[in-house]
Amino acid sequence: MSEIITDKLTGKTSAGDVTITSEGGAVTMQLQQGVVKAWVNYTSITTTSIRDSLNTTSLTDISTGKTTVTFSNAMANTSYSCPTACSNGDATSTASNLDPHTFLAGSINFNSFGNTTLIDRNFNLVSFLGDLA
Amino acid sequence: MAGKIIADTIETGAGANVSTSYVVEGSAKAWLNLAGTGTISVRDSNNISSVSDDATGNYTMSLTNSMNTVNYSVTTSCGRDATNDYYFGFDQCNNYATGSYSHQTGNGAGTSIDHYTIPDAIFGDLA
Repeated sequence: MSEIITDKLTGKTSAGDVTITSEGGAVTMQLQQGVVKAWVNYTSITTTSIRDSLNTTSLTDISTGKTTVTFSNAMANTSYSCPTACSNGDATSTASNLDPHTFLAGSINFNSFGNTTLIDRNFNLVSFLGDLA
Repeated sequence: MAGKIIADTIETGAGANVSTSYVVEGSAKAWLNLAGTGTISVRDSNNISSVSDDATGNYTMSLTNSMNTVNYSVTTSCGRDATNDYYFGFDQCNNYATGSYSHQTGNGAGTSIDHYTIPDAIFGDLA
């Protein structure tokens, strides 16, 4: 088995482009484009707090169901992707939705809903894909 | 000439290591941020060749490089407004094919409605 020990991967031809081969071997893709640039698992019940995260520096509890997530290292633009999910994490959960809005390079806002009502959720799960600055 | 490394494991100087299979299989194989209202447009994406506006709240995303099977994962969301969303919506994906899938967005009553922001990420094996 071969092993690489390194702290940094940099493309040789283009610094921001490290190519990996697909599982099926038919194509290659840019590693940087596939890497999740940030993710967060946070609760907004009682005290809004991060359970675990990557590249997320803080949360701001705006009001019930409304939270700002701030990145440690900003994205390059406001066109990044952020799939989401939210729930109470138990049988009491109602229909839930975590809506993203106010995309900024350094932060983004989320509104969590139970049915059609803004409500704090125990589990708010988000990943961010796109270009880092 | 581009350099090339063939390895099974990557390890940081701090000793944390991960199999390269996690890097390859754990990377998102496609993602996008779709502006889904009016004349739809892709704000930014990777491995998305086009998106068709099939009907109100119904879109088909086509991949540049196809997936290996139809058993991939699509994680999604939908946002109704640009800056202040008090709107409860739903979204779901269907019609999974190796080269495309469909994404439907709607309101709390189950009616299909266009959304301002539709972010997707696709995980699985590329062909």
